[in-house]
Amino acid sequence: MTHYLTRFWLLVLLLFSSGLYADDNPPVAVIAEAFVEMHTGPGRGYPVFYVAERGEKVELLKQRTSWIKVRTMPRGPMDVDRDGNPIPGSNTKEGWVRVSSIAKAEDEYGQPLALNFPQLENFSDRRWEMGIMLGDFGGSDVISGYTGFHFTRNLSLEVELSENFGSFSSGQSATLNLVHQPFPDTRYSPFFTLGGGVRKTDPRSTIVQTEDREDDVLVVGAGIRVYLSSRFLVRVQYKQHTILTNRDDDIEVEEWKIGLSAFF
Amino acid sequence: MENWTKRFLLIPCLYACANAYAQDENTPVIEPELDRREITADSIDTEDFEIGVFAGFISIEDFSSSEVYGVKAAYHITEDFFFEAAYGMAQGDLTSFEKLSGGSPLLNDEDRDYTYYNLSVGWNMLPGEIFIWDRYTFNSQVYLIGGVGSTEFAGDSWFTVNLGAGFRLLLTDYFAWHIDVRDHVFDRDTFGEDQTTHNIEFTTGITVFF
Repeated sequence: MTHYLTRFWLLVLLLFSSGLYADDNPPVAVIAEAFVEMHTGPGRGYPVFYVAERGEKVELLKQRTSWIKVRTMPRGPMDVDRDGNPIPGSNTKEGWVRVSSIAKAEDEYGQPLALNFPQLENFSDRRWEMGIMLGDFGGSDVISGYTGFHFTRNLSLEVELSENFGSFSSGQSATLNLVHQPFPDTRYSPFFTLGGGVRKTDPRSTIVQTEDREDDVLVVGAGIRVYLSSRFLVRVQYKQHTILTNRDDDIEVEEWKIGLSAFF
Repeated sequence: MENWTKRFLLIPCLYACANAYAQDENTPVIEPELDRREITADSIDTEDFEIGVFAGFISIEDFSSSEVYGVKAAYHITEDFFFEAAYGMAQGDLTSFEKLSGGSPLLNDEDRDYTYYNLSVGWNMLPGEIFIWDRYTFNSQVYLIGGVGSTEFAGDSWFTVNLGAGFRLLLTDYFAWHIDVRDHVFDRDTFGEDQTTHNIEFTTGITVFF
């Protein structure tokens, strides 16, 4: 019995260690630019402490925003400390390079690397979009967060969570929307949207003591996306909400919002 | 008997060897290296998301100050800007009036629960390095942050604007320590008329990048 347990634990250990060590073999790139500046951190303000030259091999360790952490291949013997022990890593350099500065790098066999980095020109091919919006919902303040997935260049699906704060009631809504942009290649890109979801209304506690309500809601709207930079867009939109109450009349509410989003 | 067993075992061995040689004849002398690795952007680990916990103190206007706990997540869009979503919990104490008058409390315990969430945009205004003696160098960022959200307190939720600044010290590439000061501003009419309240929060926390 103990044998089986030991074996089991060894297997588990093996599985985990193989998973962990998979990262120990990062991809290698050969620099094709005349030189590449290595910074101490992932940002333009961090000082350049080493310049890698054309033909030098670097391991690509990780990426943060548009910076890649690289490690040069060991060159020469390791330095030794006072007691004569070698200092690991002393014959390599580890630093951050801008992705665009090693865009021409090749792999060990001379094939160009497929490193991609965001450029404004490619905005119409992006897949994901997420953002924060702020505005007016039938006279009350409203805030929203949303995430969208572009499954074709024209169509995207968005999940939007909103909360509004009125003098008589506040409310929360969750909607799923289909968004169509007829001109995906223009930097000022109009869109139309259609969706539905649920809406919860909580009357203000200081006004009246009534029950919270939960209703279905239908949404139709239009707006415009303005692509600002390689990662940001501004979005202005109008939506009409039809709240399907269980009273005699449905409620129609107009909503205007402006938001800042990232796309990638 | 022993001989028989030996022979019996040797024969399969021989066969195996013969087969191995036969296979060797078919293989080319130089084996092309087929172990190529396709390097795409996906084979590099990106660490743009940050997730963590924080704890500290918040001064809830009129309702004394209390401990606050929460979670937050951030997405780093560029080296300069990031989106952050946070959720925090605290508990309002008695107002000075309630303490001095000794009368019945203005709010029940449930309505004293102060919870908030917010969606903010941060700007890494001062990226830098911190040097500790000759030995250690850590990257750091001082950021300005502001956003909108909702605060639930005194039985209602209130549209809340938050503004503040923070300091992020990266102890390793993926592990950071934060200090944050944030003002949560919202209008509430709990005492009859609308008043703008400033709820200043001081927190510290840890986050990991992944």
